[in-house]
Formats: sequence, C-alpha cells, structure tokens
Amino acid sequence: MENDNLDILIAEALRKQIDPQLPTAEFYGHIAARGLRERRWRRVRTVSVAASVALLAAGGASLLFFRGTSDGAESSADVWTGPYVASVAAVDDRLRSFDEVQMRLRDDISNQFPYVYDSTEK
Amino acid sequence: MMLYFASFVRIHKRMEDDSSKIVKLLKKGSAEGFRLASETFGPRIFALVLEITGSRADAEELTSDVLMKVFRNIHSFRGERAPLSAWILAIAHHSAISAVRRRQNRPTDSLSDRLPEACVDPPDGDTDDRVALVEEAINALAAADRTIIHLRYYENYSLKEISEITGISAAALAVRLMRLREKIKRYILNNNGK
Repeated sequence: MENDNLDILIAEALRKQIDPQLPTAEFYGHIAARGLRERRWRRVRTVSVAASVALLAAGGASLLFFRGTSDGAESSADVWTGPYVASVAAVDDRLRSFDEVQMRLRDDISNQFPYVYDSTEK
Repeated sequence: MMLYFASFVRIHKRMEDDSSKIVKLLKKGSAEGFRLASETFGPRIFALVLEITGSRADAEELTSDVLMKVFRNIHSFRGERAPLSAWILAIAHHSAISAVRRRQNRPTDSLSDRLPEACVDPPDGDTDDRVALVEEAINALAAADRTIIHLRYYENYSLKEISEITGISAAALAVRLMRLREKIKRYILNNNGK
C-alpha cells in the first residue's frame, strides 16, 4: 500500500467517524451565551454579614456568598453584582476550593435562572 | 478526496487569520467574540475530545468546559509560544485525557458503534472497506495515540504544532507517527485489505 494512500485513508476514516457527530450551531450558541453571562458577574468586596444583607436589600448586590466559621456561624460574605439577583448562597470557606465553588455556583445560577431572576431585563 | 484536502487547508488558514480578531474581541468581553470563538473552535474541540473519550455525551460536556476555560483565561494568552488554536486544543487535550483517567475505563466500543444508524454508510467497494478497517485500527489505539493521529490527519497539524499541544517532542512524535502508521497498515493487511 502506498504511503500517500494510507494518509488519505486515515484522514477519510477520521472524517467519516467524527463529522456526522458534530453538534449543530445551536449547541455552540448556548456556550457563547453562557460565557457572556459569566463575564457579567463582578465581585464587589467582602463585608460583614449584616452589611452584605443591607447591600442586597438596597440593590447594591446580586449575590452573597457567606463564609462559614468552625462553629457553624457565618462571619462575613463575599458580595457580587451580576446579571441575576439570586437567592443567597451559603458556602463554607473551610473548603479548600472555596473560589472554585463560588465560580460553579454563579455558573449554576446563571444557567438555571437565566430569565426569571435577570435584574437587568426590563 | 484531494479537493477535500485543499478546501480543508484553505479553511484552516482562514481560521488562523481570524484568531487575532477573536482574541481582541474576547478580551473586550464582546458578545461577537464569544460567538466567533465558539463557532470557530467549538467543532475542533469537540472533534478532538470525541476522539479521545469516545463518548458523544462526554465530548459535549468537555467542549463546553473547555470553551468556558478559554473565556476565563483569555487574558493569559500571549500568542508568543503557540497560535490560539494550538493553545485551545492543548486545553482540550489535557481536559479530555484527565476525563479519561477519571473514568478509568477506556470505551471498548468504537465511535461508529455510537453513531445513529443513518450516519453509518455501508461499505460499497474496496475503498470503503479499507476506510472501515482504518476506523477499526484507529479505535484500537490508546487514547494518547488517537490524539496524535487526530491532530495530524484531521487537523492537518505539523509535528511542531502537535508538539505544542501534547508536550511531546517533534522528534519523538515523528517516530511515534511512523510506528502508528505501520500499525494501521499492518491491521489493514492482516484483515485482507489491499
């Protein structure tokens, strides 16, 4: 078998296996929208629990992440603004992946409540 | 078939030309940037992770994860060491290999086994028979070897570009590719292919 022939056969075999399975443009559109939504989250600052709740009530916050302490109480909260006013989320910062958990929660909130809680939509 | 290669190379070149525009738009947080990046690189990410994982569902999830990583980390992309596509496919490669390791059991069925029936063309001649044999031979390879074959023959990448994505030296890749081609050729000959 000629080497060039083998190269062509390999390329053809890959194309035949993969191309029929490629997702539609709609699939990529959803991912683009998800990326855009995530970009709209902004971290404001970490404040006391009382101050964070006041900020949420005054419209200066969209999402609070409470930091837990070893006795189970909440000591402070990370305040975020974003495209959606979400329910208050409690996260224990004793988790080593605290930042990762926050990121995933923001992502989940964006994906689960894209319209109902969008504070920017009129 | 040669026409297919020629058009592929043209498309490939155009995508690279669009990369700097996509990077600028993504860094600005423009909606157009997210759309262009997803449409341009999404199918290539999907194809690579499908090749590595062998699962369409895993490939969809990984494609989404990889693009989100790209969006989050675009500010760290400098473009000095590798073009955007190689940077993105390196992220896809590492993500898919990690996913396979987590799953710990390589799929035993081929990609074709998972295709909807309508997508599988029945062999209708010598060439189709040999293409089917090549598919079988590729599916029998380890995930790391399928990655190399995919990047060389589906993406049409040079050894240098494959090296940037996989972290394997170009010299080692040349030897490995030669052995892989021999392996595929042997499989065809052993199964009565011409």
